[in-house]
Amino acid sequence: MTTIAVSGGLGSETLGDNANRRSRKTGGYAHSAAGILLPIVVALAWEAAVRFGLANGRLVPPPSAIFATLRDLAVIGELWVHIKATVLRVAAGFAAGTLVATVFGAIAGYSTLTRRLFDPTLQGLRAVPSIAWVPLFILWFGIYEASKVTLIAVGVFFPVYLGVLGAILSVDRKIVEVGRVFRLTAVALVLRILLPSILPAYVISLRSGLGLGWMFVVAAEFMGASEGLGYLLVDGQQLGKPQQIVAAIFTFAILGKFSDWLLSRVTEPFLKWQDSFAGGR
Amino acid sequence: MASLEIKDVGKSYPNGIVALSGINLSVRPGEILAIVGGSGCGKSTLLRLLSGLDVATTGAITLDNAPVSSPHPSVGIVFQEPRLLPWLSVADNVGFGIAHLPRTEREVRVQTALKRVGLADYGRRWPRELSGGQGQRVAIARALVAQPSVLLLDEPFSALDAFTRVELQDHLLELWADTRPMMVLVTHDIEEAVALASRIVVMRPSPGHIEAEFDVTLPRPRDRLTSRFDEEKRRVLLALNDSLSQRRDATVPLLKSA
Repeated sequence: MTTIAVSGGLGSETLGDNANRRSRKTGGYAHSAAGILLPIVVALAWEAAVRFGLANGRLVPPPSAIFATLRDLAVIGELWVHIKATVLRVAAGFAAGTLVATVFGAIAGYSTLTRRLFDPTLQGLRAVPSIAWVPLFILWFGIYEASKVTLIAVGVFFPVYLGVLGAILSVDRKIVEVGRVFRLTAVALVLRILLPSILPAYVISLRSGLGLGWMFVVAAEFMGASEGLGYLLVDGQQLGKPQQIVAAIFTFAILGKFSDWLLSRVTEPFLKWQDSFAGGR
Repeated sequence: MASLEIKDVGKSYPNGIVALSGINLSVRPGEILAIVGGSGCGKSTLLRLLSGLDVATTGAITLDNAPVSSPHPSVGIVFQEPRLLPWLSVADNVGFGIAHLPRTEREVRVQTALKRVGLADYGRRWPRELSGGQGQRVAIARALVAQPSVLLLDEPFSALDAFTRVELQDHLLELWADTRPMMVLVTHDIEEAVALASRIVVMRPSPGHIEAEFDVTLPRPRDRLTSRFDEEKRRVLLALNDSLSQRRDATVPLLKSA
């Protein structure tokens, strides 16, 4: 409210900005509510279908059974153990994959020679379905965490590497010239021109990398794990507990969506300069 | 006083195209030199050589007797488009080239520069919130904040509407009158050249060379509606037209045989 007291043009402008932001925020909540409508309607319909005997719900359990399973797992504390194991694997693999991919992508984007030397090989490796590495990783790193994290990191690596490389190659020459006019050193050129201008594309590649991280954690946990959401999936299949499988899938959906939301929220302040289609809505 | 000398400069590209040949020019201290010519006459190429963004194939460009082969701290440049960095506020854009200065001095200089271009209240805005004319003002402020002794302008107002263009031309003159840096202005707008320049150089293409060169002796401030102003315009137009008509002569037989 203090902004109202400020006299002159600046104060009224700030006030206008605030009002604008508020209306956009309520708009945002309304949009979220619209997005959640479809899953809720489907869940209620399926619950009703099972309750009224239209379907037996043995292979596709109704929402109530899934939540009961989740609640039981949570009460005995097992759910948190599995979530923690999976989240830690994704976090470690995502961090490692992103770090290596960013450095490789930046160097390959900046130096034509490096790109000519390394990019074809990396593109070749990208063509290998990442699951194909599993046997090799188990031989190399054993059946415990190292091989799992490596697999996730490999999955995260390629979208991030491609995103950084492509973004650097498409940086506007005219903008780079501004840096040259002010005689920036190579390091300053990267830090003050190249990195900020690739940031929007970088965030998108991080998000798709994170998506692949969640994908590969399941593959990693399929190859023998004693805990993790992927283990819950395998366990549910072997012991014939479809509600446990769906509960694990549901948890994956929540975690994946939440981590994606978190990533875009964390990066949002750095991108607010963008004059984008979505920004003008 | 600074001196900018262009001696026998030529520029050709690896694909064999000769953009410039035999350019000799010396920019006098405190003058506004306008380079006019049609598209493809090499005027922008010449300006890029002066800025050090490109390097001449032959000849030499010297600023205060030192060769120019890369961007120089006392040469500022304003491009055809503002080229502001979209992720920096207007103030940070203006201060981009003086990041090495202490913060307080930088802020003072940025604020002074913004005030000089009439955008004192715009420091915290994003570049996307500016109109074309405002963006170009910020670009001029960014070039001037480093206090260059030479300011190069590459068709700086050609993307603007006629009203904004005249306004910014007058404004540029005010800024120039402050410290009287050398200015080299590349333009295809004859009126702009006559309104601003102390001297006009007319260039012709294939390969780019200097066709004519004359002083503009009109007193400042210049009234665009006087007959003397029109006379100067006619002089430039004739020099340009002469080159145009020669070019037409060269192409006519080709058209006939085809």
